[in-house]
Amino acid sequence: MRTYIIRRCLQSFIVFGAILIIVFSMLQITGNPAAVLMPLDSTEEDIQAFSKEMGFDQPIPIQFAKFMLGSDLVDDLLGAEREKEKVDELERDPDAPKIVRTKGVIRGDFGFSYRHEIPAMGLVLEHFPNTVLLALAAVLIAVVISIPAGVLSATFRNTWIDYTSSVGAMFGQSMPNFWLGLLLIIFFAVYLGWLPTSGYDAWYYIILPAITAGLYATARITRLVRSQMLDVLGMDYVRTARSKGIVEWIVVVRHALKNASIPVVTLVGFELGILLGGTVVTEAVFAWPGVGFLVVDAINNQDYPIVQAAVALLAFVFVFVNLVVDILYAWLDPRISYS
Amino acid sequence: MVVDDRAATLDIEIDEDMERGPSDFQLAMQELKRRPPAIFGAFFVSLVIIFALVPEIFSPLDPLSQDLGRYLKAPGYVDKAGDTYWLGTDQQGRDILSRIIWGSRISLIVGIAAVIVSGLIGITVGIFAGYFGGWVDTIISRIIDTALAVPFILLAISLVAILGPSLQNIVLVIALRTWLVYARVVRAEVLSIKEHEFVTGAKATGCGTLRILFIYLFPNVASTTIVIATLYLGRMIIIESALSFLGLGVPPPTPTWGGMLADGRSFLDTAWWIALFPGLILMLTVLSVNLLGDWLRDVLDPRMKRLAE
Repeated sequence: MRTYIIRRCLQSFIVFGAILIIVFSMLQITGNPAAVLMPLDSTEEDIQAFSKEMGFDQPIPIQFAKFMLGSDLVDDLLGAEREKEKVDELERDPDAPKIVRTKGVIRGDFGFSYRHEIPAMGLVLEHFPNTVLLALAAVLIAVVISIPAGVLSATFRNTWIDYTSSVGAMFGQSMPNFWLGLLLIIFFAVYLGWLPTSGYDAWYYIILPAITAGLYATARITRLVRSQMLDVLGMDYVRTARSKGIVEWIVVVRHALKNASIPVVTLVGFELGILLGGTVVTEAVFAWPGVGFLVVDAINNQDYPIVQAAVALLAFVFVFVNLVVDILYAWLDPRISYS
Repeated sequence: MVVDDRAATLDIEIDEDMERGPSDFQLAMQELKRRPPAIFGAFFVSLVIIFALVPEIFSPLDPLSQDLGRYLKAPGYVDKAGDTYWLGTDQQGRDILSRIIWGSRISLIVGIAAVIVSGLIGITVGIFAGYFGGWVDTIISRIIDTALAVPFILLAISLVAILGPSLQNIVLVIALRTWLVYARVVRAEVLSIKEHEFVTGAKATGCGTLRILFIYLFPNVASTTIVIATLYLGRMIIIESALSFLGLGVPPPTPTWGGMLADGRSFLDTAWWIALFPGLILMLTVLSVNLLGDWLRDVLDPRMKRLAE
């Protein structure tokens, strides 16, 4: 068990390292990062001047080192006095753009937002609680709907209850969730006028976004609960429980559901990870002020430090949640860690 | 569905009808008759494919023709020239029905291209990893595990934004994720298939490595890859429309279902039809592809039930 945990932690660490490399490369893959960041009508000279200012003209390993460790540290190490003076000068000048200075990812600094001129990671962290809230609400709704649906579906196999729930799950998996979001707005917000169309001012603003974000999770968990319950309901111990004369619903809930729950708990955990890693489209539909909404806005304004900070943060959370779920799974079912 | 060991060893073509019962294709068709949902899927997918191939035949009007005199007209609107706008018009007076029919092109092109590109990469990588084993396999498996742990949607959005939203970039970014699925499943299959005698036999008769990989191993993973391709086609169509919805799809004026839904979002309170119909057709397409995928999986590869979750 201990070796398993250590191995999984190490693996997650490597994954996160790889993600940081991807986040760094995001701007480099075009070959000319300065051109991506500048307005479309910029002249060639402007782009080159900007490139020099941002340090894009330096060798890529040095740029990566600065991205990770911070420009001050790297300049110190390389003895690049001129670069350091340039940065110091900018530090003293209150009107100079702040985007050039960075303390590096290891100190939690992903650079400044070009548009807002405040640290990108700070802005992302400010929006993060809203994304967490939305993800938790979505998982809650998914669990509340899918577990009874799956259990009933398996218990009343091949009846109309089963068919309704299975067809519903099939539709749920095939429906683009942002379209469900639009339909919910049309019906509940515009036609009935019960709920607001977008934004976040009171608790009930979360209802429609949470249903939308939770759609795929609901469909997938329903299918898993159903198939797990069908497996378990065929087991000998369930037959024994029934033959002892225990009431059917107690057999279903206490004997069957409990034993079917380990894979379900794992899937719920993974779904939470997926939702934390990106409710981008849902947030865009409902103008929900989370990280995804921030990112889409940043993309439209070519404000890439925010995009980089957001990808890094959400990837970190995603990897971390997966790690926790895996360890929890191994703890619930020790056979896993030996395979 | 392992190719006859003996035939492969001796490298002889066996006459199809001589030794076998009904072919896979015949079995699949028999099974199709018993499954109404799959019949619906096949019908609807064919319809969309025909729309995408020859939209000019089915599209009643010009999908790009704008006229602010027709601003947000409700379904069934008839203009002065006597043209009927069955599903209404959008904010530029364009016919929704015609745009839906033309929009099927981008969805299908992106979906199918992404399936093929990711399939080529994934199958090749998977066969190499599974066949050679050792450090090649270790490195490839680690790369796959790592890449699968990256949250995809956010990364896809960022990459498309940076690279620029063109058809080619969208396909590449979507394929970036799906090849991993092929590679992982193909690798696992090849690991077990390579222990079969027909592979040993092929080696003994002096076949080159590439010949073993692509003539002997590939046909045995083909059915698995077809199932993955169908099960993932729907997801790719959804990802494409999500990108278009966020303004990161193929640029206008080309009609895309996701782009139409984005138009509809601005007029939910006045013109519900713009957001309703493109989404409906999108959902039915994905549903049909998924129904076909379930059918293919049950026919070709019943062991893969678990993959569907």
